[in-house]
Amino acid sequence: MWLGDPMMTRPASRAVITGIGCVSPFGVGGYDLVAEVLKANVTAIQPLAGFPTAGLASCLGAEVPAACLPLTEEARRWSRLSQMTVLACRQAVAEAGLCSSAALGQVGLVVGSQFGDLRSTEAFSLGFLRKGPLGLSPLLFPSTVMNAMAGMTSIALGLKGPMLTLNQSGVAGELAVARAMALLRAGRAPAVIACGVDELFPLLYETLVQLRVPSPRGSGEEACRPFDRRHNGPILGEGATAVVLELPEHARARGAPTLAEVRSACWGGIPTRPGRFPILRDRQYPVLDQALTDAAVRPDDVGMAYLSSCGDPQHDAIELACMAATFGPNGPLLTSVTHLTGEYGGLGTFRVAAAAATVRQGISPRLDYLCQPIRTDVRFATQPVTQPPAVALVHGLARGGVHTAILVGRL
Amino acid sequence: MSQRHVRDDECRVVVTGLGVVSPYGRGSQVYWQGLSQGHCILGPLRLFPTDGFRSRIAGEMSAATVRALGTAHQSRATRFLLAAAQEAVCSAGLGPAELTTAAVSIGGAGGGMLEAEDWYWARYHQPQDTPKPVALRSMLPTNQTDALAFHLRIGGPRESPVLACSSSAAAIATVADLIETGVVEVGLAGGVDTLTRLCFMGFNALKLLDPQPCRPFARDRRGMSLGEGAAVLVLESWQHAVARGAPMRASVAGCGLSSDAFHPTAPPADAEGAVRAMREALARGHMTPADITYVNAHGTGTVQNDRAEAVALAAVFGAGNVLVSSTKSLIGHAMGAAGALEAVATILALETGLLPPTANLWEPDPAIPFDCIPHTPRPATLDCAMSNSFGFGGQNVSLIFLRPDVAG
Amino acid sequence: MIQAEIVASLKRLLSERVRIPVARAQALALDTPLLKDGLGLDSLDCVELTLGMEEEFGLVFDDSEDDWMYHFSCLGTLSELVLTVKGELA
Repeated sequence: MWLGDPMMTRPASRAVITGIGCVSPFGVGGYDLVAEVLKANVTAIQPLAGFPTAGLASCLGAEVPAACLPLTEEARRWSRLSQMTVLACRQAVAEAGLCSSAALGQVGLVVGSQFGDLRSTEAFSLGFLRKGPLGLSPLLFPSTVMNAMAGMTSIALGLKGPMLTLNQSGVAGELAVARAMALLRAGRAPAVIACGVDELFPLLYETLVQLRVPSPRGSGEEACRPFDRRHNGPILGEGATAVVLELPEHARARGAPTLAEVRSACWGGIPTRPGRFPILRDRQYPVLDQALTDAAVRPDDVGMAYLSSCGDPQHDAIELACMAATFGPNGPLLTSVTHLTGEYGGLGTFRVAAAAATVRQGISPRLDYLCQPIRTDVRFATQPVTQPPAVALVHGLARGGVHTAILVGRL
Repeated sequence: MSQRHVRDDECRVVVTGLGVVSPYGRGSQVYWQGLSQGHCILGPLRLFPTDGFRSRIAGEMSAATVRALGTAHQSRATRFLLAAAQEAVCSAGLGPAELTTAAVSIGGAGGGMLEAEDWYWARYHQPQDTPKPVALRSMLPTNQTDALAFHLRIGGPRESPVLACSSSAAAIATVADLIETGVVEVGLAGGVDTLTRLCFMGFNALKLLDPQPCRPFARDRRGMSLGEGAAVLVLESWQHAVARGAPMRASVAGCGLSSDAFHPTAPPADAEGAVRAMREALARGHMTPADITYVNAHGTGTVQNDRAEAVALAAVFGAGNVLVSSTKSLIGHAMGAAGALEAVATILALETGLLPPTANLWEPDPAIPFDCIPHTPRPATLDCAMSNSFGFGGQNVSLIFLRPDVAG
Repeated sequence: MIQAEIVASLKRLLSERVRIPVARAQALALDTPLLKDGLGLDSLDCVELTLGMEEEFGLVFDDSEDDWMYHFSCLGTLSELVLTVKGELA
């Protein structure tokens, strides 16, 4: 049992990223896969192949190919979402060099997801509706509770530290990182995996289209264009990305590879009617201010910012207003990954992994589609960066008002 | 009580408010009245059809109570949660200024699933005439937390932990961490869950439900009984509470979090994950097992859970060295809300000097070497008590509370 | 119903309900261990299989007996259970 030092008077606020694992439309891999995706800057968005979309107003998405997911005996009882989570976390701990059962036995896990395993919930319910009680599947039922992905992962990897699943719309991945950092700060584990995950499946896609969530929302071309005047909603995607966050002294002691540093991770919530985006009045950005203070970083030091906006006009506008007010016209280059990956609630951990690649090697996505930005008083990452910035921000703002700010720095 | 190394008082976490909605009705007073009288509220489940299932009972909120809570357009879960939170905030005397920066963490497994099921069932049976999927907007647990934050204008860190049966206990532990590490001064932590077809069908399919009211720790126990409800605690730094003259209901001495990494639904025979969680709670509270004389158990009434829990308690405290009782025997298993409901029961036990009993314990299991307080509440003046939640998937949370006047 | 038919149904249930690969299920002998020292089924798998058997054979099984898991030792013992509950085996 690892207790750390609960008597610390100055809780550690920094952690190092020692491993990354990603299950994505681009394949399965670690840091190198993330870096390659950003460098190539080629989108995975295409007409959906996994299920029919005839009759729907939208038909595009970014899907994880079936070939990425194992058909091994071990995975027999794992739902698709659990498979993605296990694979991503397994890749991340392997990259971090955490192999022994003793080491893994101390590691914690925070999974962030927006929709959880609704696919299994629907399948379970259909069993009853079609055949009554005898149509139910006891094997399927555990997957209908959102903590199943974390549970299956902890069993598969032997993780015995604190385990949490956080349900959150929009910024589930960012929240997983922030909560993982809080667990480290509280001395609950020497390392915590933060994994954001969500998947596409027919009922979800069809319902979101009915609710006019994804592009094109009835007008214009179906496309993902965050910050552009032609923006008309997100394009949905799926995937799982896990990052291993570790106390610096623990990583040092075991000679762990270190990719980047998380200097601060703050979150809060702006009281907002559920389902709506918050209205930020009078510079209400205490989360962002706190993140900068905790990291001992000035606004000028932030060279790039990964935003959570994904082409929803209201979302784009609010988040850009926050950036403009905080950083001014010479602030960080603003960027997004959703034009490559599609948008899903657990995407934030991919953004953190991307930020690590940015500060480490100057690798970042380019917003090639951006022709008519909705604001001209901020800077956008339309060109490759010439020098890796020392610090990158991963910023999140969700429907319902949750606000996150994570600062990733070069070691 | 062992000499406890006192950490900085300003970091110590105290409980200053409580709020409950339970099958007994609205409010912590009526909740305690039911628990302290050992009144088992389990009865026929009427919220949706139960034909063809082996177990058809639950701890269900009366329709009259539900009608008096909130407004009809809100999900059942939101109505429960807002009522419980309102009581907690009022009892703590919290005002808008404190709520602006307060953390809020509401655990739950089902969210607004009941209303989503209504929609899905209608869609299946009448595909040509499906209502709009408006109900789905409140389906996820995060929606209830967002609704609470909006209703009370709460602006601090917000989370919706889903750890099955341990959800709201984890909410309490993680909000306590935020206060201890100086991130916030105040936090609302709790949970909500309603009866849902999903839960009812699932636990029936797993054959984990007793057709009769559950009998935790009994020789002839046959499974759980379902329940529903909401409970919210106001947690605060000691310094902040003293400065504003807040009522002190209890201290949070220590919390433990661990995982079994064993099986999706069953605990390991040696219950080593549960043992670690309890030992971590004790260590973080700078306490020894001898300091604890009462444990509010997870106590679901399944053959395996109760057996494993007894193994864990014996490993930590020694056989027979703590009194144990199961709140679930009285109100059923409220899933994500259970941890918070039982935390409130534990705090009220400390406050009143009366331990709630285990109901339906006509023939205690001789293999469980603990006095599980059968039927009749037990007077006992305690300094501290432990409350455990050992959730589906092997997620263990252990909470220790102190009476506020006990030096800690 | 003869034992061979029951065994064929059980093999199909192992694939359809318990997600054992078809080839592996079909290759099981009557005495191949099904539980942890063999195929690796655990209690959760057995609950699923029991529900499948109830639907397949139109029977109700009583899983409260002390040695319930013994019946899942192999296809031989499981098919005998089905025959017993059907009343075709004393």
